[in-house]
Amino acid sequence: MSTTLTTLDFVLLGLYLAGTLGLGLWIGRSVRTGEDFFLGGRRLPWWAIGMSLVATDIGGPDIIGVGGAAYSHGMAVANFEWIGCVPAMIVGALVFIPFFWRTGVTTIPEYLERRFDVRVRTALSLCWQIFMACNLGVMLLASARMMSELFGWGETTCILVTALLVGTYTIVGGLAAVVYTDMIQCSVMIVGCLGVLVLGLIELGGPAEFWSRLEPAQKALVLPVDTDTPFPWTGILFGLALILSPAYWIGNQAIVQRALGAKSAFQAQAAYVWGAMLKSLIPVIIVGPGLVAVLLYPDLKQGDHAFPQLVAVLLPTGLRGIFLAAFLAALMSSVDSYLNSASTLVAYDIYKRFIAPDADSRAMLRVGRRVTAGLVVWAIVCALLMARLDQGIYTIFQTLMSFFQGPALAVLIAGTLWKRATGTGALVGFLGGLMTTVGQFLLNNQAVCRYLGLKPLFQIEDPFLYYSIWGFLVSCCLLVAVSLATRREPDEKTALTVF
Amino acid sequence: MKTTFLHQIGETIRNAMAAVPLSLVGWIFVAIPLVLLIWVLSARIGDPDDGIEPHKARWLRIGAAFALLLQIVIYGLL
Repeated sequence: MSTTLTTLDFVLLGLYLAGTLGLGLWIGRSVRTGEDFFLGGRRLPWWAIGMSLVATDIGGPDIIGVGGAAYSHGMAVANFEWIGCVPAMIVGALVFIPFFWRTGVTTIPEYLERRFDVRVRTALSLCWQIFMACNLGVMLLASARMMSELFGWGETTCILVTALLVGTYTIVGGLAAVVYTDMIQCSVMIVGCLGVLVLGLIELGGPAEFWSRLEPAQKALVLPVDTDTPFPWTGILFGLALILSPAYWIGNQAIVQRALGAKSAFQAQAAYVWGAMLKSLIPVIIVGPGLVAVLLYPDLKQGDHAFPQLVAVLLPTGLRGIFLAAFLAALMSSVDSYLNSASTLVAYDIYKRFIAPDADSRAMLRVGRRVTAGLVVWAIVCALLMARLDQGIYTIFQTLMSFFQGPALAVLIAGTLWKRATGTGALVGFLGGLMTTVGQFLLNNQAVCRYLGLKPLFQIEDPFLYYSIWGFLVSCCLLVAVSLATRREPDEKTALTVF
Repeated sequence: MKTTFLHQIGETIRNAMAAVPLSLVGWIFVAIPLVLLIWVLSARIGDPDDGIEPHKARWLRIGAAFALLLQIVIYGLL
């Protein structure tokens, strides 16, 4: 389905890339300290942060993966953007985010050390670092597949060019560059995806015709327990809405870090509310095209081919360049955020905590930039290795997250809301939950089950939502039991770290 | 293929959940944003110590309520 770009496409794409890079480098001129680099000098406005939150959450994997999941499984995947985001964002905005902002921490694991101890901080931080490092590879791979599919470019070239471009302005400009470029990328992404949707709807004869031709199962948001998709209502409600989503919006460093860089607690809250409003519209532009592709091209071999097919066939000369810019915008806005946040975790939770506690702000800036550069190299290697896997890109991302999100949420909620929770209880709860999710993953793996002669543990494909439920529940039980069996934390420790 | 007690626990829960009518589940998806909307409209929002004046708190409340209202409409209609 490879297609070619015209001069106009290249001009539009070039303008977008040059503008993004220029803005990032220009912002980088005012970065002088570690706080400037990691938290944008705590001067970021709500409107930029809100758009950055959305842009960070919608990455290349989402455009390809969510569109692909909509093609394969119908509209139920929109739950990830609606009930899987908005309620948690509102609770985060009104309860948790102002609380974290007031504590003055740079990372969520840093808060956990103040509340519990260094063991809990390090365990959580390491998990996030590993996840982010793998996720960087997933994101780069998504872009490479898209560009390879569309334009016949080599996957390796695509991975290298994207990583170096994003790496340059993230290394120079830090969080402020990430947030302001995200803002532009969010706008470009919405315009580009909306363009694909509109042209698809025109091709189908309009929205009414489109809606009437969809099967009821493709339009359903709530799917039965025995559905053959990864989205049964039990997983969506208990796994996504009640666990993965709050864990993501309240405990994901890449997300919360923006709010920590806000000018005030109010600005941080307003950013989340603004982001929640934008989130309500996102499924229309990324799930919609997947459903359009079902009707226009029902015989695609893989759901992940839906968006590329639409772009290759529907978009006229010039608009392909805009869509490619939109796709790159989505990808870059997520990669830059994860690069910056992963480097923040390494710099604060490893370097400053264990290696150089007296490092001044300029030293932290140097470390931040070097770690970011190292992560760019790592992401490239990771993407090249993952290219051999045949699994859906979105599923890889969600499965990785589901391993530790449930246990992490249990620790975070207990830490903020329950004074009796202790450091040992939190650590045992977290590790126990983590072992539960990884154990479930193994007991559901075909090769392992064949070796042990066991039936797979779950009956649905890709049961990542269920891993998080059980991980959360086991963590809660262990955390409560061990906390009650161990000495309570001193009052002076919990006074400022518990609601 | 052998099964373990974990499979049996899972099967029991699965059967119990499968017995819940989908129409009821649909209402639960509407009820979540609805309950949050009621909380947003009634909760004290904004801490004066953070410099959040009443008019700013009001805007936060309106924005949050609007986002939740959209969810209620989406899940109510679909």
